[in-house]
Amino acid sequence: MRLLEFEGKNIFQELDIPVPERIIIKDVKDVSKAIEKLGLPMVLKAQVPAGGRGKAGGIKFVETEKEAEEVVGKLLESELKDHKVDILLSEEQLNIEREMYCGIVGDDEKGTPEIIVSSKGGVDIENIAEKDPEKIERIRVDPRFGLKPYQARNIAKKLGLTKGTFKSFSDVLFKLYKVFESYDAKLSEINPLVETKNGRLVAADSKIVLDDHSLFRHPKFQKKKSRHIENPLEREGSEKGVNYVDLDGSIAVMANGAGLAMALMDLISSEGHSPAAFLDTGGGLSEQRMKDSLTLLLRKAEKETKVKAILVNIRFMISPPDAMVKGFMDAIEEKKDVDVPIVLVVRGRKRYVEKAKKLLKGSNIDLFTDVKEGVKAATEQDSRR
Amino acid sequence: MGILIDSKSKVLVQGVTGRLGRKQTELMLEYGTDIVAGVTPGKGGEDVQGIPVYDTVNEALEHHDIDVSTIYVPAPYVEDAVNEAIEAGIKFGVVITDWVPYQDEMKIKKSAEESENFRYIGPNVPGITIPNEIALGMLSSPSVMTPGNVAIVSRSGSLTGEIAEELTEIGIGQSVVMGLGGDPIVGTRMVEAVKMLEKDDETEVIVLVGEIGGSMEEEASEFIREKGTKPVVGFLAGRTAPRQKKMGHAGAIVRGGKGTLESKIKAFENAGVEVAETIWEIPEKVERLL
Repeated sequence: MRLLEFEGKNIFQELDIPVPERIIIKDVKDVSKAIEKLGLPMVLKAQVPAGGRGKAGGIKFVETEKEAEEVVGKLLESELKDHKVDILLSEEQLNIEREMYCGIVGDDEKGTPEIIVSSKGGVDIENIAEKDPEKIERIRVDPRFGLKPYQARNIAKKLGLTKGTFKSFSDVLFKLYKVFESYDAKLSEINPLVETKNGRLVAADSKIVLDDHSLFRHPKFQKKKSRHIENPLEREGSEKGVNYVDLDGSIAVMANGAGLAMALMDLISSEGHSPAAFLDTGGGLSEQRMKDSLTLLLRKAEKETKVKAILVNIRFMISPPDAMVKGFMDAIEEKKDVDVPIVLVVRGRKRYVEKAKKLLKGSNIDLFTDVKEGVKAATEQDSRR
Repeated sequence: MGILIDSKSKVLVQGVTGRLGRKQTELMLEYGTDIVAGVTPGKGGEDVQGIPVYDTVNEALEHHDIDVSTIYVPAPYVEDAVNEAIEAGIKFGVVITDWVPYQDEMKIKKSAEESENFRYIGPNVPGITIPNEIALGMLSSPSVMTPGNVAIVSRSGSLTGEIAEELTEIGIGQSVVMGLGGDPIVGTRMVEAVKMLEKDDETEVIVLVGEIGGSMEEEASEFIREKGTKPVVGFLAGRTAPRQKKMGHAGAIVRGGKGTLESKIKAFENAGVEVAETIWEIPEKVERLL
């Protein structure tokens, strides 16, 4: 999950990385308080979990109280980068001498954290890598030991930093690694890291991406995991721990495995039909999970009459089918007014497949043991209805 | 024969007393896998399906020869369990658990690299099976797999079994069926599996099942193009999937344009891999190459 800028800066502050004076604004009424604390001019920044906010009009410099109120009024409740803006961050305006970059990212391929720093910042690091590759330095560190202060100094030296800046840059970088480590981040980044005219280094922005698998160690954020998912069905899926993606077609697809669900989508597309939703049920065939999953698709069909069929593929590996069947039946019973055919393909361990067939006898579910036949049945329903 | 394991492999189950550990131990034994011991800290002295349970891996090793450990411990304890296996001198690990923290995966990977004689597959892997010889993990349905000369290597757990079953249904057997794991950082990457299969006499054709994201397919293709001698069929799930949300710019640099469907198809094609557009095309392509 991606943290908002102000949440990242609170973490920076907690770990002693210098950040601007700032205060949260949730209402036009908060403006006077902000001016009292920060003075004028100041900066107003929309808090949405997306990059490129400046270009999209989400970052404004204001010089008077009237101007501040106007901007706050306009930004709050507006939509920016597909997210509703409900929080602004107001900050002191920094006196910028130059902008630098430092970031720590997990490299999947090598399986190590990579430290990336640049004497140039404020723009996409991608652009710097392309245009000024000589301004970038990188090192990898052993994830078990982390970044050592001397390694931070070495990389700061390579950037050509001297005197006070050398010292404070390596210090910020060392602490940024602490953020990465102690919050189980996949990415922690300061861009730009501003050097002010009086020689102070300040993190003018923050970007922290937490690892969803580690949120059990960070309960404060666990509850917030799904907050920025704007589509209500997708948000509900995320809250229930199933992987739901809302799409635009007419056949809703579900399987117990992401690869299998993707392959099913590819199959119906290759037959000239299009998927209405993708759902990977995630781990295990528990009754609740099965019920939640099918309910999501039934609600999708309830909302959009263009959904003509639900295609489900369940592979039995280790769990018997009883809980799955019970979960499906409950979901169908609760949404019995939704008129959409359900095609179910069961495969895998033979004795579970046989048992599922027995348990589902007499139900409304259209049952198959061959993927081809299941796909055919679903696409025929789509063409017919 | 196959790779990494055979019918003589002696197996330990770490996390044997948990719900998943118990159930899978039962099914693996049913398949004929030679499970000799289990470990759950604090449960030493108990037994699961007649298999003795020990408190530590070292203790299990005092009483049994062990070649491989299958790991079912809950996600927060996986890093510890894998390190315990490495330090005890186990040679091969199968890490079934999913939702393992990302930074723990990095640490495991580093420890494994450093130890030099430890290899693992996973985390978040369905397992590895050599049909009619040994099954480790969830791929233990006898009806799904049959012995033969096609190796299946897959990033997707659910597709591993599906593709094996489709081949079995038309009478094509498998030398080995293995998952790599669905997480970004895995113990054995696709290219390493391909290198092992190149040396395996039982394997005539290799099926690689990839997905969008990451760079494993590109990396494997490079090896196949330069040194591969066996025919390979490649499949990529998610041709019609919506573009995944990018993680960030720093991440994008590291990945440097790799990971898209186009990049993977191109890599496969340049390496002479037969690309199946749907899972249905896999059996026919394999049949032609055998």
